Amino acid sequence: MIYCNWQQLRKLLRMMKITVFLILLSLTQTFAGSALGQNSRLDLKMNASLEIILEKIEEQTDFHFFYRSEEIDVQQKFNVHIENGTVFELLDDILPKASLSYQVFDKYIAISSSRNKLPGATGQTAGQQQKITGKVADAGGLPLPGVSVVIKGTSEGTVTDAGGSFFLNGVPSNATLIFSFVGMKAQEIPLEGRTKLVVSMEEETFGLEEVVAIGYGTQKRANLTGAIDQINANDIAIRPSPDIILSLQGLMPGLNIQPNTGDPRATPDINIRGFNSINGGSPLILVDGIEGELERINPADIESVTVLKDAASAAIYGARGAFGVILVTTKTGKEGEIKINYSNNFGWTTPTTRTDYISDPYLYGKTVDDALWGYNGTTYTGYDEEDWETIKKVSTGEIEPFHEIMPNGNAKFFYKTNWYDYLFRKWTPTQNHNISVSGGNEKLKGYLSGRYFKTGTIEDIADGHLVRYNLNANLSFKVNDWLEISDKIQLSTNDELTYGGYKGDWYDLFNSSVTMYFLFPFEPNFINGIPFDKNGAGAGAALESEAYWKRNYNEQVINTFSATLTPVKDLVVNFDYSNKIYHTQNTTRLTNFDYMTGAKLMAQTVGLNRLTESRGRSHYNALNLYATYIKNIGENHHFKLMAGYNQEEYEADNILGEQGNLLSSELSNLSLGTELLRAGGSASLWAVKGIFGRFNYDYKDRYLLEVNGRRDGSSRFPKESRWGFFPSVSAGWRISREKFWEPIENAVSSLMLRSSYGKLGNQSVGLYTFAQTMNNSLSNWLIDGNKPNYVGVPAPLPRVVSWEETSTLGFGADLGFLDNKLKASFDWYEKQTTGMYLRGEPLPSVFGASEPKENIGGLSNKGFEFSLGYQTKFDVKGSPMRIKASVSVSNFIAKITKYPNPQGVMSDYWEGQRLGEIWGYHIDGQFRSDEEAKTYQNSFTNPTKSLGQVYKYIINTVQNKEWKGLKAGDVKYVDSDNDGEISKGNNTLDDHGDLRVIGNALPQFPFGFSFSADWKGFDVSMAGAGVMHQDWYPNGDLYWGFYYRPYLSFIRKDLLDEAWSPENTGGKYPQKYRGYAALGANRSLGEINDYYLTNLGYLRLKNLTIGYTIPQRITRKAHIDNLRVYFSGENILTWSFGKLTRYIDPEQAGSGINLSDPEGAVKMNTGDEWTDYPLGKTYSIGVNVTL
Amino acid sequence: MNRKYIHLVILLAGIIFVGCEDTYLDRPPKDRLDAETFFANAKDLEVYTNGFYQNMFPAPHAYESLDDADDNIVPLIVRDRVKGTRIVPVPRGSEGWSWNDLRSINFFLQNYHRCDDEAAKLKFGGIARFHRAFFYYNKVKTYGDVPWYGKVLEAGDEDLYKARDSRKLVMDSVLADINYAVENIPAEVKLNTVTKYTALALKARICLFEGTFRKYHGLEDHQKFLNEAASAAEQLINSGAYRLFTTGGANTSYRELFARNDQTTTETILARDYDNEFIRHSLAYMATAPTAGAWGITKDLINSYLMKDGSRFTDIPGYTQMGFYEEMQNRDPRLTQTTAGPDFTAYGETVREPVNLSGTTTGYRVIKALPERKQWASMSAYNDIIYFRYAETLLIYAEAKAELNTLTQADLDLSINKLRDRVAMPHLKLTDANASPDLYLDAQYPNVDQGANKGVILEIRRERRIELFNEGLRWDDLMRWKEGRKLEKPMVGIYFSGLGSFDFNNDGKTDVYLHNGNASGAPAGTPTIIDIRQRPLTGGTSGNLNPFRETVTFDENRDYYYPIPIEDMNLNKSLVQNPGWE
Repeated sequence: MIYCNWQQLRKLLRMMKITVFLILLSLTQTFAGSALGQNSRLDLKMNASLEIILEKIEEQTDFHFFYRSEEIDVQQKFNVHIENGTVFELLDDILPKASLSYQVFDKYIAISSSRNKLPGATGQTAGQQQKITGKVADAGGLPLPGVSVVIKGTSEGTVTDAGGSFFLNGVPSNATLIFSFVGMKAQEIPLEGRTKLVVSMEEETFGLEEVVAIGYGTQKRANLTGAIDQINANDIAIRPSPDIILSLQGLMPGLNIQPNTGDPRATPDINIRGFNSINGGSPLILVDGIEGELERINPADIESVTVLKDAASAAIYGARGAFGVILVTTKTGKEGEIKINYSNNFGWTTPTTRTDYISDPYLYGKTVDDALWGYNGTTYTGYDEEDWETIKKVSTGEIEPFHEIMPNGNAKFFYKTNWYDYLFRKWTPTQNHNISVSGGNEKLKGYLSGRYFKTGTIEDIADGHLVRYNLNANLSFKVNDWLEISDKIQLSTNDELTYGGYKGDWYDLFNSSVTMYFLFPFEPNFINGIPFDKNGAGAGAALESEAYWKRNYNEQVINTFSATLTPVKDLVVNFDYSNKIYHTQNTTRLTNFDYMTGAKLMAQTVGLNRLTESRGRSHYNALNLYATYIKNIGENHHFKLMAGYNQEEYEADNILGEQGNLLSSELSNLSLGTELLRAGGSASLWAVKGIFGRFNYDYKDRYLLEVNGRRDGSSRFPKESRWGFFPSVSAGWRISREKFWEPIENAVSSLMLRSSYGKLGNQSVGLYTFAQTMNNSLSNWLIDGNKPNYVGVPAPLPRVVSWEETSTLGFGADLGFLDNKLKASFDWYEKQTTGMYLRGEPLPSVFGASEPKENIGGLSNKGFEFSLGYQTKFDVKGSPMRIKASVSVSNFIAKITKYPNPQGVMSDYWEGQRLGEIWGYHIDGQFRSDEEAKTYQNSFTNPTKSLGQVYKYIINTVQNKEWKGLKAGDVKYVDSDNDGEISKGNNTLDDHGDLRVIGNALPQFPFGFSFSADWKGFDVSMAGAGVMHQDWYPNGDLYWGFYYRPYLSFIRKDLLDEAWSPENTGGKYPQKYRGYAALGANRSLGEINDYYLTNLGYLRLKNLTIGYTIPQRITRKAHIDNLRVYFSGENILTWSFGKLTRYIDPEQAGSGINLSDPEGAVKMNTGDEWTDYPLGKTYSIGVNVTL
Repeated sequence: MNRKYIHLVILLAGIIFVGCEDTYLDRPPKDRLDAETFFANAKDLEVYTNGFYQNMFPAPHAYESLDDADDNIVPLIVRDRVKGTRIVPVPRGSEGWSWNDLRSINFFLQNYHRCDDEAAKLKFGGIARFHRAFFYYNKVKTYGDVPWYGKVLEAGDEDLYKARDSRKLVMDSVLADINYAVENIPAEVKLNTVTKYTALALKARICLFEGTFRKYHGLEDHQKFLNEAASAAEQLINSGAYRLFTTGGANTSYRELFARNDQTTTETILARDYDNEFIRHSLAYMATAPTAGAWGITKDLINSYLMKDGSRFTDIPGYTQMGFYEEMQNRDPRLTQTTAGPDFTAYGETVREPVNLSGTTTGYRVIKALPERKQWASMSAYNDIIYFRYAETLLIYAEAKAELNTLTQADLDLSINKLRDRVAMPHLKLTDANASPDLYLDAQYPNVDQGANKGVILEIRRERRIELFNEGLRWDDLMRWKEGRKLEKPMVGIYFSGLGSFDFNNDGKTDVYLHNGNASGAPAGTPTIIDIRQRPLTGGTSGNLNPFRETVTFDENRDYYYPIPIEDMNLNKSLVQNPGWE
């Protein structure tokens, strides 16, 4: 308790530093007379002097009292009795009895004589001010903490405490209080002289009044007639990921997110509703109305993400909406108190797959030798029996690893090296820090946020990283009642540092022969402290010395100026003008390094001395001008009309310089080069513009109609075919609003039927289709020691180029049950794409170039989306528990409807081709004995020819006589068409020999689910995603191991277990002597067949978060409004539906099909993407603090 | 401001934006040349033709570009065409039936007339025709008759679907192209670009091929091409622009010519410049890696090298069972500059290498064009690769004259004997050669012209195989001589008289030890130990190393040409598949 007189207090206040005073003032502003920040409840039963009572209050609460001892008689006694009451209730009870009054300054309460009013801290409290107390509860009578209570027309207000109580001081008696709470209907209650209020909040019916962002505007969710999904990003913002993309996976049906690698620097593929065009294309992503990239946004800045899935909702974006539209709305300042929020996250990532490749030198050596032996009867190791005994001992640890120099000067190695663990780390750290400030009043609102994100990479030797900074600031001025001006600045940087390379050039550590071959466990990674690599690529040594590195840095600034005018009632005009400046700088530096190589242990200085710098700058600007007019005629007819104009232009310039033989190996600047290797540049540019309009009408919110149209022009097309018009219409009928619905309203609380039809354009056709252009490049044929320039032949010019068009017809239904606690939504669509800009009819190869593209293809895509959501609330042990759950599933089937391929050449598209279908041979198990195999082989006349397409390797290529020809364990191809040979026929639709459709490479029935619950301070949330089925024919080193190439560095252990042998006749793979059998075409494992076709279907728990919010009565003592700690796990559990090896991640393997680039789905061009940076699972912890 | 006024301004602004000219959408590219205006000057022509080289000349490690796909070298993985196991490819444009380079050349020839620099037009027009001649020469070599296209094909052109043109038409067109090149490209000496001399060298090569091919395959008009071959070679010889590279003398100059990092224009007419910074190749890797090329020279080629005194190795009684050290003695000095002999040291080194047979299938390592040791790894070599050199011209001159029956001793002295002089070998004598044709070679080339010049033709073929070893010409030689069945002859390696110790360099120490599963008898310090169960010998426990244990069948009615891809046959019904590939 502080005893001082009031004047002293004022003096004291004056003496305080001005900053402190400001803080205090702001606090008194925002908490004006409130008890918000404090623990204000107490139990007190006594008959004592005022002094004692105040002392007791100070003990039990956070409050301190001031009074002038000469003015107040603190010795007068009072009888108090209060249980779990507030300080104010108590003071209200006793002080008037002594003609005293009080005023609250944050946690200080000044007591004075009622006659001597204290100077008011807030201007508005003059006049008929009064204290208002009250309680807020939900419909079930449970107290609601955290409800915002604001005096209408001011920025003053408070929030209810844990018991649902609130207290406001100095409220004009004629004021109106606004009560709002997430998930509840806001209420406005005029005081009408009352000083005590009991407020009951009603739950907002799920989603009914939610407002959803749509193109150039917003719409009530209930009135949506198109297929639109929106999620609020709060729930998914704080995860240990560099951006929000992966967090969206599985949350909205029809939104397909595919990570290709675990590399945090890579951007996952984003697709809406499957294929739209063979030509490929991705959704249009608009961040606050201008084109942007999801990976550049600070997840914590995102308010909501909206996906416009059908033509009707995307048509307002015309040419670029064909692949759907993703609208991201970022946070802006809100009217109300200033909030400071800080959150962080520390995570550790580890591969989702097994990485314990064979590292036992004995087993490894034997395996490699066996695989090679079967091929040509020689061994890699050259070890004799004695050597094997030795290496066994090294393997068991009996003797230390060593090497010996043999008479021919070569070393023989007996080591035990785990190369994978040497090169790659088990746990990669990540951290993320976010801070934001937001607040404002009627006139001025602001939001300011910053983020720091850093993650390491999986490379263990040198520390690469990805660092991102984000800064986001926006300010909004309400100039007067018809003009609002705002500006937003977003700054983001991205800094990637990678080490890699080998002596010959730059190479990423993954996906390269540098690490995939010849790192034998029986060879050492160091000899006498010098990095050793017998085969001599030197990837490890390059890392050890950090001699080769690559830095990609880019930064982006976006400034958006906006103005909103309301010149007359019901007319709103929006104008915004954005500029985006993007700058990138990439540096690749190669310097010399030392290593030891070869069987002769030669110590060498190798590597290149080169610096490559590239710089790029791009500028993009967009102008949007649109106006919305709302008109209601009578009570029932609601009209809305919107019209606007949009133009965008983009221009980019890149330069490149490369110098060799730099004078310093420490420095990296072009000025130090002594040999100019390259200088070059490139530029690109495009522009689009369009006019658009939308008309909405509804009758009694029951019959809804929307019509959209847009006329678009693009610089990509020649003048004569440049413009396109893209209309759409959609309608909805909210049946549950009809009178006849009333009887069944209890069963089905709401029903809305929707239908839409629209036509969209696609302009993803390359920049300059209108002219024959020739590129100037550098040739690898040196002339007098220099790379000469050369200009290449132009690609054949297409005859006419114009828009691809996609028409979409869609039907949907939204249903609500159990008072809308259970909601279901179903959408069906059919898309017809015409005029696909594709390679023309297949031409004989004498043409000498790829067929010129034409608008000739057609594609149909039919699909559905279904989602189910449930949310409820009930009491558990007297506290409310809220539960939310959802599941969704979607699927589509795409077919080529038009493509000129009269010969039915199967390496091209053909009409009726279902995208993703895999053609392959049928295999009838494995031969159980050499006799069976021989009988099979001999049953064909001239096996070299008749079996050559699948067994060429085994019958012709193998040099080891013992293993030449089919053997037990080899797979048995079936002559399905009984023509006496295993072949592809002519590889045409008429004659495809033994090929059949054996599966489909597209993900079938992708699904997602989420669950969240909170109770007391605990919260838990889960999100998952998966696909039911996806066929994959394995390809590549990691899957096939020594069957691909015997000298593979990383051989998975389970492969050997499943190799057929007389002892292990259940093995799924041929005998281990079949090295190279999977290397490529004409080989028994390299030809696509149904025996090894694998289902990649999976279910993955993408995220699990468990959090605990520490009770406010504890945190408030430290001036903290809200403090939450949480644990989060990404990708922590995976179920694979097929029999895929655990060394390969099903999701990553499935990403070989890129939904934005269907070519792969047609060509079955299965790359080696799964040998890339492995997908990771991440465990993280963090806190979230609000002041 | 008055609200209505603002309203009006916005409307006006809107109208201006919407109504403004469409030029907003005109965005011509800034970094690309317009084909309509290109080919305006000499620089344009030069820059365009610079693009031809990297496609037209395959890298030395590229598929079937060197002698690891014929009877000179047995690689780790023997090529299908050698084994007789080629199959008809499916994808259109695959395996040689690719026409993109022709389109690029024809685009030039169709447009370069826009240039008004007459001298440049002649020069670069000549260079483009050089490349077109080279393109079609390769096509004809591979497929026989092919369709001739002298223009850029458009998508609707009926000629896309035409049948093949006759070999006569195509080769006459090739001859016209190469003649144009010879006449119009300036006579300069340049290492990395096509000159008049390169054109002459190519003309001689093409015409020798065509002349002998026609002669031995019974087609008409072979004399015309042989005469053209001889005259082109003669023109080049008489120009005096080139002479043989002799630096270092008989025992090193031949090796030096190929192994050095940078070529010079003494003998080399056209070479590809490789560079550690820019671009490297894998020739050295293929020649040394046990797991990749593991190249081994075949025994019958080793046998073909004459003795130092000019006598024939294969005339020595018991030559088939001669040991390694012995057979390497007193031979044509090119032998130990082509393969690793008893005293082999790596290029640029002076210490003798221990005998190492792990990187060679036959035991005879390839050291021709093998640069210094640090370039031996995959894609690490940067010694320049020769595509045309003067020695080939000399050989063409002699062969064309011999096949025309107009060869004189003076011709031999002008050509073959220059090659002999470089390595200090006795001269080839026309009369001696014809007097006693070599039976060993005769058995290899049963189809050789049985006339008066048979003896010297066999000797010219010997000289050619030795001098031009691994320069990518051997397969074509067998095809044009109609000697495909030569591939059916055994391709074996070093002879071993039995198991046990062998001294390869006569220093009294065991260099190679052969065993049958028990290596315990190998003296300490034996650098190479061979388990004959892994590397079998032809005769069980004795005989030649036998890495390629397959019975080869060369189908005389099919295998001189390659098959056309199935899809191309489907897309153009007028195309007829080559015989035997249907």
